[in-house]
Amino acid sequence: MMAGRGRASRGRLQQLLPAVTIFVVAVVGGAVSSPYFLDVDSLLFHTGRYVEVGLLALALTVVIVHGDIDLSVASNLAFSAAVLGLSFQAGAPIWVASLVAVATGAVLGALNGLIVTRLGVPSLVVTLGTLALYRGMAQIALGDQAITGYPSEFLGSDAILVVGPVPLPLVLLLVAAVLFWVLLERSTFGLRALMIGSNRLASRYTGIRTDLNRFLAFTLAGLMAGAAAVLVTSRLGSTRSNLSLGLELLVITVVVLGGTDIFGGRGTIFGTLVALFAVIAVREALAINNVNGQVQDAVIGLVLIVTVAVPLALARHAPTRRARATAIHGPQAAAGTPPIGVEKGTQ
Amino acid sequence: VISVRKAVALATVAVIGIVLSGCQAAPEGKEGGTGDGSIRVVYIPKNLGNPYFDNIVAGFNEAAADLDMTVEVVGPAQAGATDQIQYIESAIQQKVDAIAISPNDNDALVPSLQRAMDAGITVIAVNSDMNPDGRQVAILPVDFSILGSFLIDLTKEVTGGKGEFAILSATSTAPDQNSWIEGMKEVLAAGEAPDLKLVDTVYGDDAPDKSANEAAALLTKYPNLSAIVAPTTVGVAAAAQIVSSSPSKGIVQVTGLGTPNEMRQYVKDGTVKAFALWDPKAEGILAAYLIAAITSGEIEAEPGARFSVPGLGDLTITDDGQVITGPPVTFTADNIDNFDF
Repeated sequence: MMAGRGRASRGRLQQLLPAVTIFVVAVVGGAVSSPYFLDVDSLLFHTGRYVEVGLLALALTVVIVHGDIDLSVASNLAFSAAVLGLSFQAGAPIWVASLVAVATGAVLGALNGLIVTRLGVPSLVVTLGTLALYRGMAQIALGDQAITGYPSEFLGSDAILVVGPVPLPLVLLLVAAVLFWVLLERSTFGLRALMIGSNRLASRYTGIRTDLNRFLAFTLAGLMAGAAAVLVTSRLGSTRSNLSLGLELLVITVVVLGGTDIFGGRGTIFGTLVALFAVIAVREALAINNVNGQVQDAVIGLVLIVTVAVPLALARHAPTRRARATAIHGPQAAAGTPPIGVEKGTQ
Repeated sequence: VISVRKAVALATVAVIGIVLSGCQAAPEGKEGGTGDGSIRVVYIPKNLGNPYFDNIVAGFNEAAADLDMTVEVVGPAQAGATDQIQYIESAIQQKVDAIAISPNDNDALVPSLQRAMDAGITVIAVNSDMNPDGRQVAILPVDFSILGSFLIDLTKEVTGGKGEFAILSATSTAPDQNSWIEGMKEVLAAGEAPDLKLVDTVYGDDAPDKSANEAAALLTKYPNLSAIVAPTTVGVAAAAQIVSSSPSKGIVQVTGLGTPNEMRQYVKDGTVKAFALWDPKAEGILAAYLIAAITSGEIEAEPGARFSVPGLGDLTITDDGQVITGPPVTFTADNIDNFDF
C-alpha cells in the first residue's frame, strides 16, 4: 500500500515535470533577457488576461478525463458574450444579462453533451461542428457591430485588487480550481470520470451511468464558457463576434501540458493550473522581449508537440516494457495493472 | 522512466532557450530596433507580414535615425480585436515613452491604452482612428471622410461609370474599412453614380488565401460583375491575381487601395487600369516627429497644436484630435514606375 502510493505520487510528479520545467525556464529566461520582466504587480495583473483560458482549461480537464473533447468552448464564449451584449442592449439590467449569458453557455454545453451521448456521435466530430455553429451564431447575432456602453460599475473587474497586488480574476480562478479539484479528485463524480475515461465499456458494465457523467461534464464546460464571457466583457467593455477566436487551441494545450491524457482516464486539476501558469510565463516572457505573435504561436505549438510526442517517441525505443507502458498509459499501468484503453472509442 | 522525462525536460529547455536567445537578436534584423535613442517607442501594427505596415515601419525607422529615438515593432499574427492587448500591456511593463498603434478595434483596446496613458506613456493611433478615450492623437493617412466618394470616383473611372461591382474588404470589424464602405454607400444613395450597383460586400480578413477565395467566389456568383473594389492592400492584390488568371481578365476591373510594388505586374498585364493609396511611409515619419514633439514637451497633444515635419510641412492637430498626412495618390500605367513601396 505504502509502496503503491509512493509510486503513484512519483508518477504524478513526473507528469508535472514538463509544465514545471517550462514555467521555470520561462521565468528565468524572462528575467535574464529583460530587466522589466520580474515586476510582480504587472505579472499578477497580466494573469487576469488569461482567466478565460484558465476557467475553460479547468472545465476541459474534466471533459478530457472522460475521454471526450470539447472544441467549441471559445465559440460558446463568443455567443454567450453576444447574448450578454444583446440582452443588455435590449434593456436588461447588466446582472440579469450576465446571468442570461452564463445560462446560455450552460445550454450550449448541454447541447453538446446531448448530441454526444444520445446520438453516440464522437465528441470530436460534434464539437468540431458546434465550434463553427456557435461562432456562426455569434456572427449572425452581432453582424459587424460592436456592443459597447456597458455601465462603469460592470467594467474593469480585472483591475480590482483583492489582496495586495492580487487581482480579482486570479482569485476567481483559484476558487474555481479548488471547486474543480473537489469535483474531479474528491468526489464520486470525479472517480467515475476517471473510470469512464479509462474504459468506458467496462464502466458501463459495472453500472456507472456513463452518459449522465459525460453530459454533466459538457454542461459544466459550457457553464464556464458563459462565466468566462462575463469576465471578458467586463475586462474589454466591448463585445464582438470574433471574441476569443481560436482560443480553444491554447486551452487544450494547457490541459495536455498539465499531464492530462488526451485519450482520457488520467488528469489532475493541479497539473492544469501549473500548465496554465507555464503558458502564461512563456507568453509574457516572449512579449516582454517584443517577440511577435507568429513566433509566440509557434513556440506554444512546439511546446505542445514536445510535451506529448516526445515521451511516446522515446518509449518506442525504450528498453523495457515497463518504461513503454509508463510513457503510454501512465505509471499505474507500469505498476502491474494490464494496459488500458483498448476498448476506447467502441462506445 | 526517469530518462524519458529527463529527455522531455531537456528538449523543452532547449526549445525555449533557443527562442529566448533568438528573440533578442531578431527584431534588429528586420523590423525596428533602430538606434539607441533616448525616446523609446513601441509600434504595434494591426498584424505583421502586411507590406502596408512594413512601409509605416520604414518611415518610423528613417525618422528615428534623425530623432534620438528607438523604435521597436511588435504585433500579433492575426488582426483580431483583442490580439494587440498583450503587446500594449508588455509596453507598459517595459516603461516605454510612447506607444504608437494601428488599432484593430475601436473599444476593446481602450482599457489597456488608458492604463498606458495613466502611466505617463504617450499614446497615438496610426493609420486609423479609434475611440478617442484610448489615444491622445490619431494620425490619418488622408482625409478619410472623402475616401468613400474617392473610391466611387475611382470605380467610375475604371468601369466607365456603369455596371455591378462588389467590395472585398479586410475583417468585418475593421473600423477604417467599415467607415469607407459606409461612405461609398452614402455616395451611391445620393445618386452620384446612378448606373453603378453595389451587389455584395465580402471579407477576406486581410489573408491572401481567403481574400483570393472570396474574389473567385464573386466572379462565379455575379456573372455580370464589372468591378471588384478592395479598399485593402492584401485584398486588392489577391483579387487582381485571381482576375488576371481568369477569363474575366479585361472584363472585370480590379481597383481599390494597393501598394505599387504589389500591383505593378497587374497594371502591366492590363488587369488593373488604376488604383490608389497614400504613402504609408509618410505616416511613419509623421508619427515619429509627432511623438518626438510631444515627449520633448515642444507641443501639447491637444487640438490646435502645430508642428512641422521635414517633407510634409506644417501640420495641425484638428478639433477631433487627428492629424491628416496628405491627399491620396492614384497609380496608373503612366506613373506607377515612379513609386517603389
